[in-house]
Amino acid sequence: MEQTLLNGTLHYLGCDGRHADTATLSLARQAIGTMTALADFRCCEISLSDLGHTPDFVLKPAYATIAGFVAEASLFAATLGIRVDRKIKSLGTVDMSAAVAANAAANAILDARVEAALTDGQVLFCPGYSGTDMSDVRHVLQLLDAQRRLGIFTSDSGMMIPEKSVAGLLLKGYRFSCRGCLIASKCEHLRRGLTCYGRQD
Amino acid sequence: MLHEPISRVRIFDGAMGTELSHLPEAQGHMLEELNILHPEIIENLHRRYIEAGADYLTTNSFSISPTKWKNSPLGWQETADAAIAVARRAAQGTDVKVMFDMGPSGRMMEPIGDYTFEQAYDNVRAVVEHVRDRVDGFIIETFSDLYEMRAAVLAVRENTDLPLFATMTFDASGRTLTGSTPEIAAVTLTALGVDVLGINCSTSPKTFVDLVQRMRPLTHLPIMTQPNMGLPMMKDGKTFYNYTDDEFAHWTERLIEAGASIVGGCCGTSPATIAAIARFKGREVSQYPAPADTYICSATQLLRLQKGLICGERLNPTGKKKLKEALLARDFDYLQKEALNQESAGADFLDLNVGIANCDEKALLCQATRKVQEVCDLPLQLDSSSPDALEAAIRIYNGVPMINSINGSDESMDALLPVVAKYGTPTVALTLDKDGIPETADGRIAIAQRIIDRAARHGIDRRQLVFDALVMTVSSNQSHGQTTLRTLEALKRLGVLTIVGLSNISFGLPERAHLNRTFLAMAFERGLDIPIMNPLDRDIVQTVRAFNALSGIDANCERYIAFNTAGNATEQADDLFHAVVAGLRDTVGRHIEHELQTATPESIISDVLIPALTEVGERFEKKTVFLPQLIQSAEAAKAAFEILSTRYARNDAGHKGTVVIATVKGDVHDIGKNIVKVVMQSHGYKVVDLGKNVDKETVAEACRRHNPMAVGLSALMTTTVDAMEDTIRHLRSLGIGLPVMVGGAVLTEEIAAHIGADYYAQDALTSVGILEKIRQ
Repeated sequence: MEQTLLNGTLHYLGCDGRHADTATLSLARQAIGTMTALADFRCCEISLSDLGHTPDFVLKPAYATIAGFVAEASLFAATLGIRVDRKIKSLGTVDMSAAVAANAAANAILDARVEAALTDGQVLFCPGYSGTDMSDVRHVLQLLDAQRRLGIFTSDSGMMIPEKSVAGLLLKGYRFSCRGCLIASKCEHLRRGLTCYGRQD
Repeated sequence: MLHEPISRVRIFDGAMGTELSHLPEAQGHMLEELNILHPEIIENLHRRYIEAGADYLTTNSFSISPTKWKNSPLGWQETADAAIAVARRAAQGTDVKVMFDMGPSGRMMEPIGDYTFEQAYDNVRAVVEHVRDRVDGFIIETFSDLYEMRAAVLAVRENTDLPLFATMTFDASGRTLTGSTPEIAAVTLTALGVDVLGINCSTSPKTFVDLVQRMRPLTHLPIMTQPNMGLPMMKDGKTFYNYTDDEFAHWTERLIEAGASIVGGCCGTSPATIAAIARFKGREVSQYPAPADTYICSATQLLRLQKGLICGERLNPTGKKKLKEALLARDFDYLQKEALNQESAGADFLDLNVGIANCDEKALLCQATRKVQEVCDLPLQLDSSSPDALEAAIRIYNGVPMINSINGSDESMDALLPVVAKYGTPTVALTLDKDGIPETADGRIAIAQRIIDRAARHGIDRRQLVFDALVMTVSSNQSHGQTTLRTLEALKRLGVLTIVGLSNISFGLPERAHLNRTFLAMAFERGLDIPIMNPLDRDIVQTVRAFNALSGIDANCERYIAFNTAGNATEQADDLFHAVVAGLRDTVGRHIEHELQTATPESIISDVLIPALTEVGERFEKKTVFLPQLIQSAEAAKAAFEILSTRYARNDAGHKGTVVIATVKGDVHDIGKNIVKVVMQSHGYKVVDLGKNVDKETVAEACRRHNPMAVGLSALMTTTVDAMEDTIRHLRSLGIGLPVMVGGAVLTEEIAAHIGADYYAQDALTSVGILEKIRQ
């Protein structure tokens, strides 16, 4: 886990283990320690079959690419809690580089914790992927009662608070594609022949 | 207010939502709409709770408030009226009390979210004003944010005298979602004068036992509990809970034993559950005394006032030109840094004073309080000579602050003792009055006794008063030190806490630190509890740590050991260039002093700082250094620019130009914008940072006021790019033709052009390149 978090943090900082110098490694390790202590990981999941119906937003044309996976899908949300946000903000006041490292570490911790919460073959498909509407995240959170259960709020513009939160559909056997991705034209991963989900598309 | 103490167990009702949500009549409706559409269902449920043994009914109004009531064709007022009418009908002919139920707004409070304290207050006030004449009391429940709870409690308290019950929810870690503990909730709600406090919803009845046990020693008030029926599970569209009624009753009895005196149920409970716990009704409950100790807190840190604490003194503009200028410019970065530095150095709480001649102290103290609480977890001591400013700041403070100060004059006591009583805040009490500072200890003690007596008339116990024995410099009269020490001794005989502003003792004398340290040790021994001092002075902190270790206050000498074993290694660099490249911010001052012996500020910038930043930029482009180092170097260069700018004749000289930056309306992410800010500053630009969630009008106003060379707008998400476009359109419609650069995760060159921006900045370094281009 420790190495996973370090790799993830370095990845979010724009470098990887092969290139990172001692100072960056030290900063990343410190940030991982701080954020791990503050992270209050919570998640919840409801299968669509237990929910008793298929939510309307999933029936939109943009979700056609996942249509074959919906029968076994679940709604899912997870968060690291508000203390992580506060710490990043507070670090940013006195030491911006520590804040950036903490931000990266929090992302890596969330990724790792979500990954650990998934069962074999499941992937998390979030609204916003593949041309779907990012604001559909509201529906996911509402159906999960995520505000009460996890403390995930949405702002008027549809942002999740705490920032280190994710929400979407767990799909079994689904393979991601960069088609429709908003930032494909400037994606660092694609330039290097990679994808953000860790394998060649 | 409750008119009699609760001496026997009382029964609250159970769930409304989970009892209604599965009904066919509820499908497609907000549950509160049933008050009008199907009042017979609600009335029947109320009656079943009464038959089960409930002493209190909760109206079906959890989501009724101006903020939360959306997407309904019915008005919130008429729905609230119906909720009360139906509960009243059910309770007719019984002694059962009808409590108006209010849940949280569903919005995240500032500073993490965008819902303000005032909005939260007004939301509840509107409801209270509408219903207060027709109910027996209010229950505010399921709050997970202490700050919103505080606003709601004040809105009820200030608009009705009816009983107020307030309950919060805690997760499995024993904290609210915003990090408050049960102890903090108990101290804060007790200070605000609710009638009953407690816990609802959350997890299972079993986990409530620990929460009640933790609250119990910190409040004399009745505690109520309304747990869920365990954890919810969903199957075939229906929700189930994992406790039986008997199990629920078993744990309810444990809750009563732990100190709860009003018990009921939340999600998943039913009239059968309430019937199962009604057998405890009338059981005698203990009466609990007020806590023997005095507490202050922030939303996340509770502090018992006791001997050996450190109150940080540095958030005070007196004698601090830089802080004064920053406060006048409403630039709170400096204040926030001072707060965090004191926290890191070991302060236990911080004095906050913004007293500057000819400024609106009330507004400024409120802003400063919010800004410090935004980043710093330590409790605050709000310090002002203006009662208005103090009350305004106490009001918007998150937690329970200490205030500094009242004194023995009638004017001060008349103005502030009611405030202390209303908000339950401990207060510093100065042993002086309208005639000034008595020369003798006896004179000061007489004033202290007068304050104690007058406070008692307001219901304020002496434990809430922290007496300042008053320190005056020995340089004007050598007996001043002895007078303070004698006063401290006598104050302890009155059974009160003591505090002093330490550094006054040495004013006007050389090598003040020696006198301060020695006087501190003497004062501790004679009765001083808390010094107000500079926690960044490591030597004097050592004296406190050593005293606490030697006197047994610091158990196992833990803090002493920790303080003296923390790493102090600082990397060294030979010159300013390498210090900036290595990002060694703390060393640049020394190097600049050295450089200034042979060079002008202008040449240091052009010959050393800019080349150093260029070097780091090139390494960043080549990916031999990464974002953290880039920022560290930028921070070091920024510190260098700040020092050099003081060497110019005019304040703004040395800046290449001003840039206004903001994260646009609707977007609360700001780390990217903050990186850009640091990097721009490091290259010599003056940055006016408007913060996050900034509306277009504010951006336009800043452009008019600061006359910048460019505007930078940031947005993280697609949902807020519209706000960015709207802001640019607004600037153009006002004839503000300044270059606008935009940046953020979802933006591209194409999107930037599409929304009318002049430049797209992919990263912080690019933004500086754009500024250079504009400048040329």
